[in-house]
Amino acid sequence: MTLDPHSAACMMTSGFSAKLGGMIDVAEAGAMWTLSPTPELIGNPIVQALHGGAVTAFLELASGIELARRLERDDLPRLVSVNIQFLASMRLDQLIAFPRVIRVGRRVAVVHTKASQGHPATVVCAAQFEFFIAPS
Amino acid sequence: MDPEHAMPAIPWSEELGLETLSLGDGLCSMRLSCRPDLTDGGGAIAAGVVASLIDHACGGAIMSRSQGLSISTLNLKIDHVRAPIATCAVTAWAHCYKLSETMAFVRAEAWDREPADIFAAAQGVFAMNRPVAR
Repeated sequence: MTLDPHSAACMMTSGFSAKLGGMIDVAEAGAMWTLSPTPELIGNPIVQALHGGAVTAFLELASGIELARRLERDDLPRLVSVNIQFLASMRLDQLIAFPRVIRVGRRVAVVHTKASQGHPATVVCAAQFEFFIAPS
Repeated sequence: MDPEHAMPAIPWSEELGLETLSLGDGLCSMRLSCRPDLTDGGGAIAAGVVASLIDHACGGAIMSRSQGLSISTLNLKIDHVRAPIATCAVTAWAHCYKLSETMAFVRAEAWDREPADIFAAAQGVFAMNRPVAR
């Protein structure tokens, strides 16, 4: 896994992010996150499709850490809301996510993240995340 | 409906240790115990795990009415209205309030200590898939 110090610190602060982190590689300074899923992430054994919840967790992690990197924080910001669309069934193969910080306000930041499989233009999942970033 | 036999074995739900509490008539309740590998930085169940619990409970609610058809999540919106309590098990309740031949519409809530004090609320739309030809 290739992560800058802030992102690596974020990844290790949480048991769940560390669990997923073993399947994740990060490239292009946090702009491209690759999940190499293991069979535990399957949600539909008949068609060998990834579980929607597992995919949501991966995109949320990528989005949260990308935002933390942008804010130079060593902890994950608190998620307020997620709205995710599944555009195609995701098979047990590399899933590549592209988190993009859309807005950083005083209290809330917004991250849009798309994910693709196979060809980068084949978007299989798209999500919006709102994070609370003010000191609580 | 017997929860032990109503839901098919799903690797991700088994990995997380999801437990079906009740299932039937478009309603599904599932519970998840807190383990270190499922927690966020504060020691509570991580939001990504909550998303998995809610997505799965929604699927259970639909499958309790759909007589064995497989389903796919089309969209899911989850609002985390507060942080869950550290080390506390969480429960999700889902209700499939509308089902057609092609679509299912579901609402869900999740809580830790008290059902009236939810920490997350969700709604989603699922596609009803045709049976897989064998």
